[in-house]
Amino acid sequence: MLFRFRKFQTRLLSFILLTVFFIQAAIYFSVRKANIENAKTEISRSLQLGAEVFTRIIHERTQNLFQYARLLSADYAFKPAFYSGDHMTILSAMENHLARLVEAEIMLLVDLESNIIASSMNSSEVGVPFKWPLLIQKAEKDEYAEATGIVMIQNRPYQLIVVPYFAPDISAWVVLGFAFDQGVAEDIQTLVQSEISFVGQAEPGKWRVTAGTIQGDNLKLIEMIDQITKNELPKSKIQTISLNQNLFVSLAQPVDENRQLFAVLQRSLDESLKPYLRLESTLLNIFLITVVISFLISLMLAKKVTHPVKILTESASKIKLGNYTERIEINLKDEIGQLADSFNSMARGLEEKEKVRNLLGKVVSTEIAEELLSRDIELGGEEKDVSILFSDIRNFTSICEGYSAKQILNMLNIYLTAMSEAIEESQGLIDKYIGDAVMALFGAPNDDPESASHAIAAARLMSDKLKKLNAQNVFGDLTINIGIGISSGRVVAGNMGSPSRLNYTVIGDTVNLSSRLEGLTKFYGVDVIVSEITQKRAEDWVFQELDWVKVKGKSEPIKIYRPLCLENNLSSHCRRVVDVTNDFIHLYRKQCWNEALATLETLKSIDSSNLPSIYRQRIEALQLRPPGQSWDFTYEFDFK
Amino acid sequence: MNIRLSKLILLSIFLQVGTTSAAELRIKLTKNGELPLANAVVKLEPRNHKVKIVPQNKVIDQINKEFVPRIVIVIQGGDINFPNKDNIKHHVYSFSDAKQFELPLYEGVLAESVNFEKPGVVVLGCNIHDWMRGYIYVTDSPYTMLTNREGTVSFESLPEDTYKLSIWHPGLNEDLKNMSYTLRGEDSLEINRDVVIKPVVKIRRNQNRRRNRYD
Repeated sequence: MLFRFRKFQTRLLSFILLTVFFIQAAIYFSVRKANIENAKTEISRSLQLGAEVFTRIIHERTQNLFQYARLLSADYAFKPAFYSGDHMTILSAMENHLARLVEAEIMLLVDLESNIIASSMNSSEVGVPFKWPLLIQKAEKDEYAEATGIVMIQNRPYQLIVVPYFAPDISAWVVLGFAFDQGVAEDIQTLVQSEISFVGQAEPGKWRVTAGTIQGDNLKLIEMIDQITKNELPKSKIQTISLNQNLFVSLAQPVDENRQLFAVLQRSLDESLKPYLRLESTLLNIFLITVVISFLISLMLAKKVTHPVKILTESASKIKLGNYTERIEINLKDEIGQLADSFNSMARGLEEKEKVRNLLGKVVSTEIAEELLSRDIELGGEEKDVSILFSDIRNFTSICEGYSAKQILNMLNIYLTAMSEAIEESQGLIDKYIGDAVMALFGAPNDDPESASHAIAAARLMSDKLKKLNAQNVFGDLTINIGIGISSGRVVAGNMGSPSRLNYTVIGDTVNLSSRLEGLTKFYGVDVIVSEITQKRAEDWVFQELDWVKVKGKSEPIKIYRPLCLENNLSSHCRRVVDVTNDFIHLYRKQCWNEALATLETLKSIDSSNLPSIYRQRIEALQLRPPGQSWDFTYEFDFK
Repeated sequence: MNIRLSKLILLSIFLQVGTTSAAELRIKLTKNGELPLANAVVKLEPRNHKVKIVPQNKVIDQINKEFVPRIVIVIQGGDINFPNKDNIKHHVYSFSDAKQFELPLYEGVLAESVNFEKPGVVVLGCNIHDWMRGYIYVTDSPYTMLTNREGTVSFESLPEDTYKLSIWHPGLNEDLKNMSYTLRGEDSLEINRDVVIKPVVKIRRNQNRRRNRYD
């Protein structure tokens, strides 16, 4: 019981804990997933925003360069210098202009044949072809004769702009440029709050990282750009790549339309997840606290649930053992309380039933009590083949004289207790006590094919017990003798009486016959007389035929017998009694009186009953008045 | 004015006298395959006979912040006056090889004219108006004319000779100088020529300042 209780508690505990655990785990993982997704989305959004800001900044810077260049192009003061033809003057004037421009790093003047007039990068570069004639060609096609583009100068990407130099017609090209260098990268990083790297095309198809705010494995970046430019990835596709053991959400933004330069904006996923990681540790703490709390609560709950269950179980086992007075005290209003109430009601019911059963068992026999309790009690009965035993104390009335009622009752109780035991031990049941008389049933309410044998055995046991009681002087100086009549046959067995007061009993001729046979015992001087049917049914018994009689109230004569002993226990004495009796009966019925009388003498020597004297008187009478040929051998009793 | 008129009369007399026969040359210019090219300078230089050139004075107005006319032919040694007819000042200048000059901010009619001695193209600009552009074609040949709206120019009464033909236009991308035609007696020659003209580079003027710069 204890183990099962523990098991239940454990089950409850583990169920609650597992439920809590799974819910928590589900929350934890879905929050984690949602956060990572959210972080990625947020990063992507901010990267896209950053890319727009970056594009805008570069556009602005480029436009600023255009505006500077346009002003220079129309600057009247520069024109005389330009037309002076003096290279050093032109260069100096140009550098003067360049000094005004914070945003420009290089400046060139290129003539209409694409040869360099002056270059801020190399003062001695004069007359040599401009390295990016395509840019000038692009400008020539423009309605304002302006162009911009990305070029690589000494492996550094530059944004160059070209505007025409008007003096007043297009006389040359002004080229201004700024580099996408570390400074630009850092500026952009500050502005867009993202890491930025510039990946430029050093040679066709060959990319290199030219500047960047994160130092690390550039190969991943180059690989990403490579894939984008080979159209293996959609343009500006956002990728998560690993750099320096960190995951970076990366967005490649082409700087120019020819896709010579890419700005890769990156943001660390781990960095963005930091607030979430704090949340995660909080979640973990909550998780642990919840588990502990739910453990304690479920422990309490389990105890609370199992405690009354334990009480119930213990009480139930007590009731099982027959202690119907067991009650449970549980002050609960819930289902457990209801269960306890029901349990108490049940116990009360059982107690009452047991009381009834005990009482009934005392009033009626156990079998009838069971029969009454086990099914609905209703009037009516059924035909049953039974054997009925009737016993009576001989001369009870005269015995009682000189004794107080209490003493008599006391004696009677001892006597009846012993008799009842004998009957019940022989599978019979007490139908009723009628004063000192006992009526017992064999074969009802439960069928018993050997009811006759059992009834005879009961009678024998009763005699034996009584002999013992007498020997023990239980009744003082009194010796109690009883007579027992047994008959078998069909009777009606059932509850008889009125619906409010009924009685399980049997009714039929057999009952009366048993009573009559009991009455004959005194006459014949035997303790037990059975009817012919009983004799026939009890095949394991040896009987002495007593007579052929017509009892009072019966028209049909019946043979009556005296059971002697069990067949398998047959003594020579018994054998002889039976044989002599049979010889005598044979002679008697043949009306061989003298021979019969002689045999009777023999019988008298071996049989202590009244039988020899009864037949002697009867023969003497018959000798005086012979019965004739129509003699039916019967002896008619006119007393009960 | 009288002097100019008398010079013109003299020239015409001279031409009449010196010409024994009169050939005709008609040139039709189209640009980029279809439209007639107007205002192109067509110059004929006779190889053998010398023509006396008589300088002429011309006027280039500045009206509504433009040079009017935009292209002016002036015979070598001629003067050009630049009257400003706007109510603002202009600063006319040129850095061209043929003539470098500037007329710092002024208004109205200047007393002195600018003399153009050296043949060539003089590109005029205004220091304060980027888009103002004017062209002076200083020629050393009296047979220099501008094509009309139909893109044609007709030279009549040309003396018998071999002529070098030059065509100039601000948008001309090619060198059209080395073409020769020999005209005899009463020849009447018609030349149709298509030239490639570059699109005019736009110069920002009175842009819509209200334009959203983030468009």
